[in-house]
Amino acid sequence: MGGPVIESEKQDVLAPVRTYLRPHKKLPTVWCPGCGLGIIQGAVLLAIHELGLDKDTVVFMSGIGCTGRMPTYLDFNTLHVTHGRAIPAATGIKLTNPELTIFVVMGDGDASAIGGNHLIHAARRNIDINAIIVNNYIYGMTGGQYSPTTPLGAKASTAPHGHVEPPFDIAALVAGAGATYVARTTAYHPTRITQYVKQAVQNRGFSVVEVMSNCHTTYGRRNKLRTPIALMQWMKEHAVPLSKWEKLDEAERPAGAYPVGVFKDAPRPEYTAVYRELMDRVSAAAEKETAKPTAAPPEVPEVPPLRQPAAIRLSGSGGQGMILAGVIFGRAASIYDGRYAAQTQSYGPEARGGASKADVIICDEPIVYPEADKFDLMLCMTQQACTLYAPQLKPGGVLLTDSLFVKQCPVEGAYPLPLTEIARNIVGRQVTANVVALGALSVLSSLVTEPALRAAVLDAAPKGTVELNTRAFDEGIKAARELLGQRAG
Amino acid sequence: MITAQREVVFVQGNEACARGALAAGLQFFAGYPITPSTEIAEYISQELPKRGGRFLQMEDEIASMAALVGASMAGAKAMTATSGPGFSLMVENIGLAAMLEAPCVIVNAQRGGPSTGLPTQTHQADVMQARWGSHGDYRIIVLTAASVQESFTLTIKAFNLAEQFRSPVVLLLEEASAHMREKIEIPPREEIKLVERLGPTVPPEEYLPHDDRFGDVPPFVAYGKGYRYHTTGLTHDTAGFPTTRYDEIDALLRRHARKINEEIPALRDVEHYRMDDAELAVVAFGSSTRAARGAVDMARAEGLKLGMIKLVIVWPFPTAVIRDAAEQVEHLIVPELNMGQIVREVERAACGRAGVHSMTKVTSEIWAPHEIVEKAHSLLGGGD
Repeated sequence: MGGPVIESEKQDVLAPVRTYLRPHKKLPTVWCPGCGLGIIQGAVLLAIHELGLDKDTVVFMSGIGCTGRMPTYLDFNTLHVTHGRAIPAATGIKLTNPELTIFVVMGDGDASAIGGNHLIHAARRNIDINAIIVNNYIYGMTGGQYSPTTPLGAKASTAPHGHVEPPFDIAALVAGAGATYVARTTAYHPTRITQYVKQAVQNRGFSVVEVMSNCHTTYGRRNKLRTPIALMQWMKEHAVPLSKWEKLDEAERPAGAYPVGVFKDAPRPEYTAVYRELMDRVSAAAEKETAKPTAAPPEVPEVPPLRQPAAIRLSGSGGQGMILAGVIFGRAASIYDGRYAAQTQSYGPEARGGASKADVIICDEPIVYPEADKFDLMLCMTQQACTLYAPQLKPGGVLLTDSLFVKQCPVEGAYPLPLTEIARNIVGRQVTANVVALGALSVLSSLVTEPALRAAVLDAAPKGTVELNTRAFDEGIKAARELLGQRAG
Repeated sequence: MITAQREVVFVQGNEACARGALAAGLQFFAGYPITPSTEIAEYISQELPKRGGRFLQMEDEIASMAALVGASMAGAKAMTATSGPGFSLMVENIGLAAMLEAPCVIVNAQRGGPSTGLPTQTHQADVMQARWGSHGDYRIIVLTAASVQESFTLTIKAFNLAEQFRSPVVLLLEEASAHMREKIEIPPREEIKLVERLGPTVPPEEYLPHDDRFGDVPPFVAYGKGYRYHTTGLTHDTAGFPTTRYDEIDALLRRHARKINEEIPALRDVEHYRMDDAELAVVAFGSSTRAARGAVDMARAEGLKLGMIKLVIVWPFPTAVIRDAAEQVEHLIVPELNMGQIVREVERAACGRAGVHSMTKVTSEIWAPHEIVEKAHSLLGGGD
């Protein structure tokens, strides 16, 4: 390096940096004399200056630790959040306003321990955030506890007998996780810091600049590197340029040495830009979308009054469309028949393969209690459901069963219809058995009107299946009428 | 009746909540999948980007809540939705939102707990967590919805209160109402009243992010508008810089306490049902208010003068309302789907003026009206 620094040159270097420090702010910093953070802060500010960034569009933020205090001194939009959470908070800011340039400064603990999950996911998303990770091997602010980067064998206040865990290689970690710009240097090399931070900002994506730094107060003191100068010297000696590092065999690499340089500079689409494209695509599609022509509401006949709640249970096994049938019934009763309806269903393992049910409570008054233990109308599409639920039918209630599956009915007077067979053989699609059942229910029960139920069935019909569902509904009506005819006759 | 403008739909509570958020002007949603709230995220992921808003599924609920705080500070109306286990992870940054005074809405569709509990079954056991989940002496606004319609209207209200008070607002749904479908009315856009956060009233050089000169709610500026300020989760002065000065610590925490306070009319939302001549009253929130309403009508038909006080905003707790009720009636009945949480607040407010009777249920069944009527009879019959 050599030669005395000329006073005028020194001023030239620092003058622009000072313009980014907050006037009247509580300087000096909280950092110990000789801490690398001052050098790093200056080098980062020089990069911002050389890039000509507008202070108003820069957000400079941090989590917890000694690094966490840096934004306090800087004249940008600055935010100091919780431990490890600066990156997800930055993600919210950047996605809300992609025009902002975001810097997140973190320590090794903040970034790779408590915030480690956020770090790798931000890298994976490749969101345009510039992460500056100051790695001093230790939790400084809390007094020297070991961190995920504390070297094996080093001493810390919580590793008084020597550290027994291997450290993270942060640069390799984030490169592997998908960061598109990754570089490492040290507090001994401020011009490199400036250079790498500039490149990081120029990279549209998740960029990480790892800066090895010195904590003589809590790390050096315990590890025979008691002064800032000793640690600076150590960093200088152990930082090996990547090009040289790669030529060395494992055995030739000095103990404690690490490579420095640019590890990765591999742009790929940036998250907020990709999301912008998605927004443009779906909003354009939404504009083109002609509003689904709303069918004229069906002509509903006089609906008989229903002052007390009536309960309907549609049951079967998972996959028979009972929940959808319940939704259709509820919609018919509420939207088209003009009553109140509350529809609930069973969830969980029992809805996947076992008994599945949807309940609907309907009434002319608002429904205070959306459940029932006795039912006015019930559909049982399996033997299991029938055995389980049919005893809950009210006296005089209506029970429709699928005669293909229900062979034994615990209550008298049920209406057995081959719902699944009608769907399979006459309608041509077994999956419409629930609609066949709804058609039949519209005949067997006065709790819902046929036009209302038909309209609700068609509301729920996927594109291109209106005819199919109409046929299924009509076949259900026909079968129920025939059955009623037989009973009457 | 369907009119030209008024949309009437038959939807789940979760969808109603999502539609409410969109109607309130939601611009940012970050969340993590969890039963029974997931349908909210699914609906919003479908609709929000069409309207120029951003949906993001984060790596966990901690990150979701942090992203919400960031989005809010960048000026967005922001929301997340979760259930108990996720809410437990969010409380860290709910405290941050309170400290930064970052408006945002957190929906908790409550399920059975503790721990993983009952993912698909209903409880009301997070009502204390909603208030006290994060550490430290902070204030928060908590609403509870009883129906699918309220899931819509109270989501809008939650956004409005968040904006008005620069505060996180929690909306408690319950599995029962989150997954239930009912008919709701969606009013036309022009009928929905929206509140926006107060903007700066001074030039940048005079702006203070936690100003106390213009009242207890400081004006807000989003990043990128030329107002470069600092703020922090550390205890701070009005300029947002960390402080350990006794007078500044005291001023900050006392302003927060004044800002969100039960005496503020906008933060009182209580419905009285047949209370005029009531001799007994049910105090309830969320789904239990449905059973309570049914119980009141049922009891009245039997000649029992029962009324109901429905807590829509549970926090800040309406102490004065309960105190007045306790002056009027002999007994207050408090049915909850937990082991007795809000009843302690009711006891505190009643302060011996009326008997306070807890009804607890943790089976994950909801209350039925007749159970409350039976309780009322037992009280008048000299039982209990």
